[in-house]
Amino acid sequence: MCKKRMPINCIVPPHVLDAMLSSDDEQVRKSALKTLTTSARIRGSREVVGAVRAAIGTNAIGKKQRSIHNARNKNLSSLQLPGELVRDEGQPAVSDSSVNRAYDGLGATYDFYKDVLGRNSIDGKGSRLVATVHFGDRFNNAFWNGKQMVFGDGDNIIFRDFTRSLDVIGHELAHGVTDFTAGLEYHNQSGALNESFSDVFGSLIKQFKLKQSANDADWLIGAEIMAPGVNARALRSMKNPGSAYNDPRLGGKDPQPKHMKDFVELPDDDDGDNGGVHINSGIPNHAFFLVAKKLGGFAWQQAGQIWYQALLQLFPTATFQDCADITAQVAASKFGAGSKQQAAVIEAWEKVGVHIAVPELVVETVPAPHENGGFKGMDLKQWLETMSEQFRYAAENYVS
Amino acid sequence: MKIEFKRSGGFAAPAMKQQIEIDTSELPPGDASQLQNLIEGADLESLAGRNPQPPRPDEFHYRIKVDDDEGRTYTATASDTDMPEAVGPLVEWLSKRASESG
Repeated sequence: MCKKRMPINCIVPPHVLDAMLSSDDEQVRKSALKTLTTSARIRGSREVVGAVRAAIGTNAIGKKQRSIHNARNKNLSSLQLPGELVRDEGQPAVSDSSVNRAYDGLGATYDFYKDVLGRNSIDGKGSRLVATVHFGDRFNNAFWNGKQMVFGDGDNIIFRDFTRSLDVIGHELAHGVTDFTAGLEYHNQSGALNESFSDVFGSLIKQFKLKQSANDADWLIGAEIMAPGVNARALRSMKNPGSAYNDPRLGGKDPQPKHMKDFVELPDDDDGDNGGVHINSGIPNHAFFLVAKKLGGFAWQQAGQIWYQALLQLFPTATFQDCADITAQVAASKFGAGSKQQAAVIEAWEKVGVHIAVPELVVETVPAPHENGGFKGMDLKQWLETMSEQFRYAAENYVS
Repeated sequence: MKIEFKRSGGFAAPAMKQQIEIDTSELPPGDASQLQNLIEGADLESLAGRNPQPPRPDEFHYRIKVDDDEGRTYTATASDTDMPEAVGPLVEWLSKRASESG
């Protein structure tokens, strides 16, 4: 709630307005907001409007509510987030392109969650999407603070303005979705999964916006924010973890693994990236890419659905194994046991070194050698060829 | 006074790590007094005792270790979401110095 004390000369005392602002009743909240915003003392005081509106939040399904704020290059030592409201939902584009990119990016994210996954905003209940741009001085970062997105401008040496990348915007908002669903703890394997789900949905949001198939997508995270002089295609690659960059200003080469055998054991502290959450995310990222590539078409239609349903079933301390098992189960229940979707999920995790034990999966459809049954009329060579085809099929589809 | 500054985390982790060690006696006088003022203003000693907040996704974490001229050592931490008002300018100064020193 509003931390600032705002002395207002009006009939309704501030503490009553405060209580009204936190009411469960939307009408009560709306009328308290209206009172505050029309008060002569704060008319035009957009900082207060910004803070109050950001605090109120909820909203009917299908109706997005975005608020973009400007930190004017201040950071937390002299600014209380979200900062001055500069573009509210429904307002036209402004001259500041960071503001417009954040507005459009939040919109694209909302539309993706609604149209593709049937989810009403980050909390599932239509929460307002709030972003602050121009945070800090040449700030080389963007983050989710638990309630809103915060974007830096970058220093133009390593990074450009962080609002330039739709997958960055999607990635951060997806952290919010994870907070409200699986709640994956931000360290070790659960933290790497947390990071991975953000890269997955960040990438899908971009692909959905651009209507790119899995085959056409670049599967890169942060390609648009890399400054021109840096030896980097992006910050991360889901298609080929470990290949995104190689530049001393980025600490050397992209350290992401793509297989469990290269899992990076790091201490669970600041120095160790909390157990390597941004590093080992390469493994589940790659698993998702493999599923999407195998199934083809648009990645959000099948692979994305499986991953979202899995997110709804995962839990705070989940490991890669749990994610593999659950995505396989989800694929089976959505598309059928023995379906190509389930097979793609199992195969993908296998390829990154996570084995899924699926005892009930039986290879039921082994192609018969002849329609009229049996090997009648075959010579020995034909029989050998047919049987080797049978064995090859069985071996490819075998799981213990 | 010796100061060790470390930045970790960030959206681009582990690529944005910063680390710098500064001995104020080796700084030009203007810089030394600037830094000393920032440290005093930041009141790091009282900050050093508190429990850090749990990490938020993709935020930077900052660690400042001070070996002062009276033989005391203390370490204070902050993050992008948990930045006491007085500490911000000090973090900015140290981070800028760290990136300049390459």
